[in-house]
Amino acid sequence: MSGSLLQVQDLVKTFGGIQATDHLTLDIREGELHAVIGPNGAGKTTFIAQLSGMLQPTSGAIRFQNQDVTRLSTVERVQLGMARSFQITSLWPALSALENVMLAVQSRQGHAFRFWEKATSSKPLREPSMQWLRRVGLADKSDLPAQALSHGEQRQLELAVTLATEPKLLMLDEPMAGMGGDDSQRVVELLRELKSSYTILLVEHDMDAVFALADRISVLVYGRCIATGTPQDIRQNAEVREAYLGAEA
Amino acid sequence: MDRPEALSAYKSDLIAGTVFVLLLAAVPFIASAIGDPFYVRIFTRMMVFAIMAMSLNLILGYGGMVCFGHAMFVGSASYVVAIAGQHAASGMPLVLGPLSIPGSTDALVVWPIAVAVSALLALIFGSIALRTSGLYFIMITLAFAQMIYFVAVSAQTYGGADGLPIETAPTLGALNTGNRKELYYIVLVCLVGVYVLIRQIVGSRFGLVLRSSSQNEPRLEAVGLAPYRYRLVAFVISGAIAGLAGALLASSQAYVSPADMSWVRSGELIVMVVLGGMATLYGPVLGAFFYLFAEYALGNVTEHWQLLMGPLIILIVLYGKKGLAGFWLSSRKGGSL
Repeated sequence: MSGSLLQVQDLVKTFGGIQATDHLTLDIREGELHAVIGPNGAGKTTFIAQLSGMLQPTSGAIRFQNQDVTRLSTVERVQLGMARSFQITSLWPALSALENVMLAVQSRQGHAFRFWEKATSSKPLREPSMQWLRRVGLADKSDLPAQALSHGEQRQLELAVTLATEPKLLMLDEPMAGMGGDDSQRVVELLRELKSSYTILLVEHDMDAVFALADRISVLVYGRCIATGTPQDIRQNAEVREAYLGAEA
Repeated sequence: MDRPEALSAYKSDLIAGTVFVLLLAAVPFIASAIGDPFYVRIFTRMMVFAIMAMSLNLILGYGGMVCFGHAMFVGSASYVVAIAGQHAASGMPLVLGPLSIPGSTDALVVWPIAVAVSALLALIFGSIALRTSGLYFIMITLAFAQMIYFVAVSAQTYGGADGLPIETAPTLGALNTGNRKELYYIVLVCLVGVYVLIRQIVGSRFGLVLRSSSQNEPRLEAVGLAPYRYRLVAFVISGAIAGLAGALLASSQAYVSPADMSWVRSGELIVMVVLGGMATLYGPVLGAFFYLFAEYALGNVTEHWQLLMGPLIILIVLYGKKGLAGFWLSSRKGGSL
C-alpha cells in the first residue's frame, strides 16, 4: 500500500452539549476502499459533512494529499479532488439526467461562462457526460428529468454526478440507501469496478456490501472511532461485536 | 440527438412565435385601417413591458432571485435618455467633477450609455445584494430601488417628483423614435432580439448553472461550482436588458418620472412574470401583454379596475401550473422550456 491520501487528526464537532464527532483520528490510504460503519446516530453523516466542507469542525485537522484543507470551502475541496455523494438524493429535479451530469463535467472543465452555444448539443460536454451515464447504466434515460427517474435510478444518477467531477477521493454517503436487492447488487458491482481506479470512503449500512468490498473498515460509535482494521479484524474485534454487531456476528 | 417530442415541441413553439411576431408586425397597418392609431401606442407599451418582464424572468424565473427593485434599472436608463435630451436642448453640458458631458439625442450614443448605466447599477447593487438570499434579498433590492427612486424625486434640476419631459425624440440612424410607427418597429426588433438572446443564454452552459443554482445550491457547490459569480453575471445581464427597455420606454412616453422606478412598478413586473409563467421563455411576454391589456380593457369598464384584476390573477395562478404559458405548454406535446 502507498501513503495516505486523507488524514483526519483529532477531529471534534460539538452541537451545543452534544459531541457528534469525538476526537476522531483516521487515515485513508491511496487506492483503498475504506468503509465507515456505525449504528444510527454514530455521527457518520456529520463526519462526511466535515470532510466535504459543509460543516466546520470545532477543532482538529483534515489533511488531503498533505495539504491542510480544514478551512477550505466545499468548492475548493472539490477542485482539489474530494467529491461526495449524498445519503438523501440531491439532484436538480427539473433538469434532465444528462444536464445533471453536465454540471459536474462543466465544473471539471473549468468555468461555465459560455453564453451562446446550447449546452446539450455541445460535443465536448455531451460526450463525457453520456459516458458517465452509460457507466452507471442510465444512458437510455438521459433526456428524462431527474424527478421522473425511479428511486434506484436517482441513486445511480447521484453517483454519476459525483464521479463526473473526477475526484481523487470519492466519499459516498450510503449509496445504497433505500435500494431494492437488484439495484443495490448493481451498485455493489459498480463499486467493485470503481475500486480499481479510485480511493473510496464508503459510509454504508448494508453490512454484506461493506464486508464484501472494503479493504479496511472503521467503526464509529458516538462520534468516536472504536476500531479500524481489515474486515477480518473487525469481525473478530470484541469491542465492535459488543457495541455494534451485537448477537448478529 | 434530441427526442422527437422535443423536436415537435420546438417546431410548434417556432410556428407559434412566428405567427405572434407577424401579427405584431401587422398591428400598425390594422390600426391605421380601423383609424385608431392609439393601438400602436398601447402595443408599443406592451412590447416594452414584455422586454422588462423577460429581463426579470432571467433572474427571477431561471435564477430564483426575487428582485423587488427591478424598475430601478428600467427607470435609471429612462432618466439617462431624458437627461441627455435635456442637456442637448439647453446646450449646457452635464458637469460631473472634472468631466463635462455634452447632451445628445442620438440613440446610438444615448441608448448604449443608458444600458451601461443600468448594467453598472446592477453590478454594484448585485454584488452586495447577492450576498444575501430569500427574504433578505427581496428587502435589500427593494431598499436599493427606493434609494434610486428618492434620488430622482429630489433631483429638482431634472423635474423632481414631476418628472422630465423629452422634447426632442432621439434618432436612431435614419429612424426617428418620435415617429410612432418607426418606434413601434424598433421596439419589435428589440423584443425579438432579447427573446433570442435569453433563449440562448438559458440553454447555454452558463444558463445550465444559473437554472441549477435555483434548484439545489448545496449540490452545485458539491460538484465544485460556486453560484455567486454566475448569479452576479445574470443579474448584470438582466439589468442591462431592463436598461434597454427603459431607453425604449422613455422614447415611447416622451417623458420619464420617478413613478417609472417605483416599487409599485417593480411589483407589477413580478406579477407579469408570475402570471405569464416563471422560467418559461415566452411566459413573461404573455404576462406583460395580458396585464397591460387587462388594465386597459378593465379600465374602460370601471375606474376601479384593480378590483377585477386581482381575482383574475388569482384564478390564473391557481389554475395554470405555469401561468399563462402553462396553458400553452399543456396544449402542445413535448417537454417544457
